[in-house]
Amino acid sequence: MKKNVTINLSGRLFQIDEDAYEMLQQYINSLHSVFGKNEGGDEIVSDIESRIAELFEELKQQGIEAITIDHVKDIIVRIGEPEQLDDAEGESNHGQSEQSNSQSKASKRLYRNTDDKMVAGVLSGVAAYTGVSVTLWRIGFVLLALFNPVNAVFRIQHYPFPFFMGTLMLIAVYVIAALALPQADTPERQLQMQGKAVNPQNLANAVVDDKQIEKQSGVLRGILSVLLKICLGFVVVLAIFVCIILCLSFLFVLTATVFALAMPKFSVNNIDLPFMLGAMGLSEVWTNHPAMLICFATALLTALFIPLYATIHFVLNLTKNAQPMGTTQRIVLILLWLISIGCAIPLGGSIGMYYSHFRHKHTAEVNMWMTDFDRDYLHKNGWKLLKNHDCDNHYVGSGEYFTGDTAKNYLEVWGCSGQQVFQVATEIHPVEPGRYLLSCNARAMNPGVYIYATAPASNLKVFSMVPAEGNREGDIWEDAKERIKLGDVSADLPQLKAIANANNGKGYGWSKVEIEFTIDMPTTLTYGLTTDDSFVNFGDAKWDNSTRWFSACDFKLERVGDANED
Amino acid sequence: MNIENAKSQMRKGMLEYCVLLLLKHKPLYASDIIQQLKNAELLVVEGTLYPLLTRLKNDGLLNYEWQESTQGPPRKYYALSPEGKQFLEGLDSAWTELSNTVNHLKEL
Repeated sequence: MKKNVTINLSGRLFQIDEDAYEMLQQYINSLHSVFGKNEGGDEIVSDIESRIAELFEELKQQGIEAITIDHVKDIIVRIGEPEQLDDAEGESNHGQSEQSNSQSKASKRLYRNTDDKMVAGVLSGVAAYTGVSVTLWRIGFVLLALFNPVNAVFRIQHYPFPFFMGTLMLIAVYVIAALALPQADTPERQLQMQGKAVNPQNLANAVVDDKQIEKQSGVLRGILSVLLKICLGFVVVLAIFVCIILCLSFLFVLTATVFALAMPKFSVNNIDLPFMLGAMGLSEVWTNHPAMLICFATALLTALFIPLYATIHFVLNLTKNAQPMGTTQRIVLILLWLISIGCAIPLGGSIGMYYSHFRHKHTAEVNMWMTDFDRDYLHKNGWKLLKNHDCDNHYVGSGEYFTGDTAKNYLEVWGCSGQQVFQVATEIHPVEPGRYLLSCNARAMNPGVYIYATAPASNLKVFSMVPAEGNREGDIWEDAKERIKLGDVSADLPQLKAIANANNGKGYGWSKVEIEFTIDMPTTLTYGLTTDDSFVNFGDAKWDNSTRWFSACDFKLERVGDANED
Repeated sequence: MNIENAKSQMRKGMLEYCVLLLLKHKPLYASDIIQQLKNAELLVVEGTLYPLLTRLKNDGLLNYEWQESTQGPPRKYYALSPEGKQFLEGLDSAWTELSNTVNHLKEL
């Protein structure tokens, strides 16, 4: 049983088998391609078409209702192959062309061979093009994917699998090829793919072979093909996921950049936005080469957007909501993608160099990584960071100062682990003998934060613990409230009111912390803030593991009297 | 070089002259011409005729007109144009000369 179609040939209707129709179509197409270039070529083809119609008519009169592929083959033999018919220059080399007609090698073309495919038929097409067995190509591809030399070059630390960059690149090449190469979906293209001349004889064979190949697909092949498709699908999903993440984060950076440009002082939740660029180490690049950063972001976004667009298009196409992309569109998109990748990689490299230079500089200066802002603050206030275990790289805070002044910065460490060991120091040299008072404003979540002063030459090591009152009330707040209640009329009143009203009248937990000590000979004095048990080395009030944060600022060292006063 | 090949080249050279000869007395349509040429064993594949007819028509040697047919759609009937008649006369004399030469050579 065969499917049957009705065709209109020179104004007459014929019933014809589908394979016979396909063959006839190919024959007429190849006539067009042979005669099309001559003057009156279309006329010749339409004359031949009416001749075919006449011959069909004769068959009809013999009582044949449906024209089969054998009828079409007979008619093609009768009318002749297109190469035989071209009379203009055929005379001198006629004999030669007749001899080589059936085996003549036309120029090969690269197609995807979808008749023998595992995934998209790219390797099968390449095999047909090169004449090397498709099995060899497949084995070679898998081996190259697993043992690609590029993998060794771009090996990611601690990544357990032996394949990564090279494998991804190979898969990317495959995907690009699958998108860019046309499918060998007609017998004519299949002949071109195999490098055979497009003539009726070969077309007839191609049409017949087509049917046989369909029957040959085995169970093992099917399983392999499904497995490969699952792998490829997984890679595609992963790629899409990564693309989305990267897109979002870059949109975030772009937004931050725009905000930073438009409103340098704008702040959300007390975090200054330029901090975002600073935190990513990009502020230096931004100051010196804004164009580079913008180009990079644009190229990267383009490189990320195109696959995303293609995927969305593909999904729409699957759900029948969009036409497949045209070849031009595909090529333009692929070119655009390659260009943007080509731009993004070297630009990213340069930016990376800046970043590592920047990071290296900062690391060298304070022996650890921190933001520009924090480094400047510590530097400006004369702090040397001695210990910073588990401090999450945050050293400066703002927004909860006891006066309610949100712009005021202070030393602040917070983190989730509760294991922070922190110590800053300021050295003063020389310090004359005398009675001294070290004071600061500070607050802490839990006990265990101390201000300290040491002078080894005087055998001095004194501490004073920061009261742990959390981020509510605090001595300073209580004192201000008390004084307002008592009817303070001094010039400090507005200040006191500000303190009492801070945090909607709840205060932020700040207290004044003081130590008084005596220096009996000229010496070098070191003072600072610490949470280090081994440094403090006394008492029960150890730095509590549950402690999350503390803040301190306004350190002041005053000479309050002579050494021998007491 | 085999005999079939030589024959086919000879036929091919003759084809144009023979087509014009067939059309000398009355207009014919393509299938008539094919039938007659096949009877004379001058044509191997039918398709050869169509490019030839189109070329002769484009050279101004042939005219055609559409005529209604008793069976099926209208047919293209080809006829010699005045230039075609002149051309045919030229070929006639060339053929006479050629056949004389060939006959003469055969009798040597």
